[in-house]
Amino acid sequence: MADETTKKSTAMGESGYRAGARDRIDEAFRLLRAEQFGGSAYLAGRGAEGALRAVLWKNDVEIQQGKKSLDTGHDLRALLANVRNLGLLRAGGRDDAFATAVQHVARLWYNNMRFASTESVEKKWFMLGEVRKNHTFKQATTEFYDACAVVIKRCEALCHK
Amino acid sequence: MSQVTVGEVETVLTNKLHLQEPIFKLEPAGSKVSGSVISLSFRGLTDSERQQRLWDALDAEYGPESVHRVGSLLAFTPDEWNIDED
Repeated sequence: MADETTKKSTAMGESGYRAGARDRIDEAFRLLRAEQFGGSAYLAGRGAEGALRAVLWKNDVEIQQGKKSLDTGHDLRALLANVRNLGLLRAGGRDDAFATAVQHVARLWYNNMRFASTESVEKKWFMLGEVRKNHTFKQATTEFYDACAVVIKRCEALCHK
Repeated sequence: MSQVTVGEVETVLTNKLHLQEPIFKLEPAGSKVSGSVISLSFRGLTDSERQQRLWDALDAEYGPESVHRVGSLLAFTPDEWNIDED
């Protein structure tokens, strides 16, 4: 069982979440190029989650101090709401593209995708209307990658503020 | 396998992609170079298109070793990078 010292040394923190997010979106692109769409979608979505967590970690002192948990499960909409509640997004609809990208990712990504076969991801996306006639799984996965990249890049910019 | 430097990666990307007014925020990360590339040249391209261009250039320079020499790269336009400055 991990003691407190071990727990602290293995805690992610802002830089850990950011580095992980960048690595996941990089790996997602490599899989996209190789037409390994199930793996690409899973990693891109995980990267988006990590990027949102990095922003929350950086900007919420209570999370840094351990007074509040970052454990929102893997609900990307809840993570977006928490980012918004911290007052980090620009007013007047100027962060609508970011919010729309998070919603796009949240609609299609699920934590148990890590266990799912590529075929089952494609079927699920077909059921959701994302894969359909004249809109292939490849196109859907490419657009999903692009949405995840928008999320990660906006979070990077927020972390640079 | 020799490691590449930040400067080498900047030169390869600038020259092969003819980047307009590039700003690089690259740093060594383990044995690789990773970071962000900011340029007007990315305007109008999706992120997957930007990544395709970046990695086509790196693959042309380093061949199959590119993946071992360069890590994650995020491609921004200046507007995306400076989004909170207005």
